Amino acid sequence: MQGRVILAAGLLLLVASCAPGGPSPPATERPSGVPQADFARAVALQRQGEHARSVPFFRSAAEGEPDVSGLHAELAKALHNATLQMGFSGHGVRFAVARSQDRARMRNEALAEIQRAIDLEGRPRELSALWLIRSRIFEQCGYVADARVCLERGLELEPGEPVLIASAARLDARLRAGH
Amino acid sequence: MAAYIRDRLDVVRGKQREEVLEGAVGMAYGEEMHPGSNLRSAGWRMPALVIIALSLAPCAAGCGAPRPSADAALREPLGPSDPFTPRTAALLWPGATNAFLLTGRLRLSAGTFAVEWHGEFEGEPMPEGRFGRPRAGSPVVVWLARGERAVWRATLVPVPVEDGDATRLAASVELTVQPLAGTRGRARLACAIAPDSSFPVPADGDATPLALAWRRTRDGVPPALGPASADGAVLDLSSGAEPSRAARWRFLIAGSPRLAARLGELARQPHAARLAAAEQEWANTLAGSTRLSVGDPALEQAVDEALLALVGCTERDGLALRGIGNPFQYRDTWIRDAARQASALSQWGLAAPASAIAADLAGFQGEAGDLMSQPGQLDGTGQAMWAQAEVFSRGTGTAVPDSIASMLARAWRWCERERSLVRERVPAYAGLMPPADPRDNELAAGYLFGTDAWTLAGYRSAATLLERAGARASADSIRRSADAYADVLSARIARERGMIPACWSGPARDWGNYAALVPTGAISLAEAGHAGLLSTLSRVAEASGLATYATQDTVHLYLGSDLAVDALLVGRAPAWRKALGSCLAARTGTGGLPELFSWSTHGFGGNLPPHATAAAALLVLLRQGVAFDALGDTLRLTLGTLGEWWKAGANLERAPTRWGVVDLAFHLDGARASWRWTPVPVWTELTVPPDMVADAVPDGVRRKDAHRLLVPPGRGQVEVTCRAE
Repeated sequence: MQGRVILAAGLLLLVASCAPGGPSPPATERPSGVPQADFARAVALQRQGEHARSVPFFRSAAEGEPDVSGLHAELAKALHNATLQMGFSGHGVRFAVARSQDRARMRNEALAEIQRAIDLEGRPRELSALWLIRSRIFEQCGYVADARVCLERGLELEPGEPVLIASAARLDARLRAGH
Repeated sequence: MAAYIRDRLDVVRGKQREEVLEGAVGMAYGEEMHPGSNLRSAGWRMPALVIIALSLAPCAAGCGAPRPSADAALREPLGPSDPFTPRTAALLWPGATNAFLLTGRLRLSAGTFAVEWHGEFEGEPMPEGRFGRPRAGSPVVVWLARGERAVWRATLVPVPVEDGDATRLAASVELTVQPLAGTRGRARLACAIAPDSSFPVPADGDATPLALAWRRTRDGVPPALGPASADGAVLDLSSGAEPSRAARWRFLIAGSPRLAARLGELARQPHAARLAAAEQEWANTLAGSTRLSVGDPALEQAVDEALLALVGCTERDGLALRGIGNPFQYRDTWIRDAARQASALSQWGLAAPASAIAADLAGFQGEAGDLMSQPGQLDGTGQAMWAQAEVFSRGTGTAVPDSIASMLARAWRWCERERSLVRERVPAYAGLMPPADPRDNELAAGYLFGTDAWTLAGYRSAATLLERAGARASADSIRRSADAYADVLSARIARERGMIPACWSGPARDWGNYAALVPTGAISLAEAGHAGLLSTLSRVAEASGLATYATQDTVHLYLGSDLAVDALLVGRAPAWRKALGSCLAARTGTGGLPELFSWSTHGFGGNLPPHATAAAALLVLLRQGVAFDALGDTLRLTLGTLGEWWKAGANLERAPTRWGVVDLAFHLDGARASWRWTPVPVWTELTVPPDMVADAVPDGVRRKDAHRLLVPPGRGQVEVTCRAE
């Protein structure tokens, strides 16, 4: 469980590792419609820090296999990471997704997708990992109280999970101190 | 298109090509000087066909739009003296996805490329110029540089182009050289296209390749079209000029790669016609807006400029309109800015863009009911709710759409849930919204006063609009929770001995706490008086009435504007007058207010004007000064005025208030102060002219204090005798 949770959290932190690992794909690249192929392409893009570009591929994979919880979770993470991805344009650092309206839509879709992943998942350990992902999305959006509630759900499933406990303690501290 | 024509003509007509092309695209301006070639100096060497073409071109170009006279070429631009370094202007258009930044010795930046002009007339280099407008109410930018031998003048006209769901902006530029004092000679102009990064531009899917040259190449299309072509990045031009005949050149510049391919098409309409069309369209936009006449054309122009900045800080997307903080570095929506933008536009009668901007904010709403544009900015939900009331409560009382009513109810439920989470988990902060981390403004994470002030304002706005929408039960529930919320804040303020900090849980920069009274109404007048927030307004004597941000040298153009309106409510009108004066003095030649600037250097760094919220602040200062309806159940007229306005006689026409559209006239004739206004169904409070007190009170009118009178509902005219205080 701990490894899975760490992996899940680590994937979220991909946002911090935006160093390109290879040439950028053409902006016009489209998903193939084959879930496995699109998922592989999405992961490759994600590893290059191209979160915004990975979204259509993750979405295609999730639409191709709609009952697979993990695909919705990956799509959720990609959507969320895309809202935080930065680029350089003109003489300033800008969001890769230029409009805050679009970022808000992606953020909301990320929350809907992670909820869908939760709804589809039956295994407690995996489910608690998904609650952690949902918590991290909330936290990075600035919703500390919601993030803490999600951890509670995760802890109900895996009460002794150290990562969940540590995250809960950190969020409690933020709520108490306000920062 | 023109580039295709140009290339084909290059092949078949040789040296005649430019003249014929000029006729074809309506650009019979100037002459070409190819690098290294002899100057073509006289038309007498042209073939007859070319002479005919040239003689027709001015007609085609000038139908219904005569060429400017020498007087026009010499006329000073209209606008304030620009106090900033560098001097800039913005060429804007409502809804456009791009804007042009104008700087220095005439440089036009599109964000990824720029066109810069250098010139010389009879040995005198083109001097540095100043920006302004050709006339009041014009969206056109004029640049004028006065030398000893000639006056250089450029008019830069916004040319909006509908492109699917977007509006993209091109610029039509005419540059003239008008010799002075009987001088005649040759004017020379070097026009350079170069890569540019004056301001960041949004990541765009437009992959149209551009050739930074004055001719189409295999690599792409040029972003600018001049009166001639050249292979390289520099186009040299030359023309004879004398007092009766100015040298004159025209350029079309695309603001985005997509428009570059359409420049030839755009050039077919003459510059003068483009100018007339832009002015007419902007006049049509302003036609229904609130008008303030106070006998001060410069102030009235300031209002028009601020409205242009506000409507210019929008982007159209089909039928939707989104507010953006600034056309340059802040080309994105922050709810905290767009809400104020919608409010100011609503207060000045521009209901359509105000409603559209407010409606766009509703699109931020998540499944849970929250509205947030930037992570950690938890005040967004309250601000978006408040913005709806700002646009739906004023004027003729437009029906509240079901979608907005639903949005408001969901937003309130989300806020209540968030507050309940805090109540359960952190009793020390019970009743407040969770901690925010705006990564901006307060620059601190914590329980921010602004989050709660705006949330409370949102509750009250929601209650008002839901009641109007017929959802009385929901409105009652929200009103009860708002009352309880206000009690929580009051109790906390009392525990802090009346202080209103930016953050309850630690140090933070003053921000949302400055909005505690106006516009959020989160505290009472008495609490505002005790808190002493107004004392923060006078830190920089030279910019008195404004607030500073972070350092005493950093003057902020809107941070303190709410406090300046507060000052009117607590009887400190001089603070409001100082704020107004300082705001007016901090404008570019085309009326753009930056967000902040350094007092010592008068620089604003990369934070280029105009800032939408700074423009909104100026408009709200004025509008709420003359006709206050931001809070309470009383229409307050002439709360903030200048003595000169009274002497000249002043009018406010078509001002949408929460009690209907109001016309107001006020005047001081000797000792007799008079008001005439559209009667409203609530009490009206009248404030006498500055430095005067009311001597006698007419029948039916109550004296609130020496300066203020209360007039019962339904009455719309009062005259009183005043004396000096």
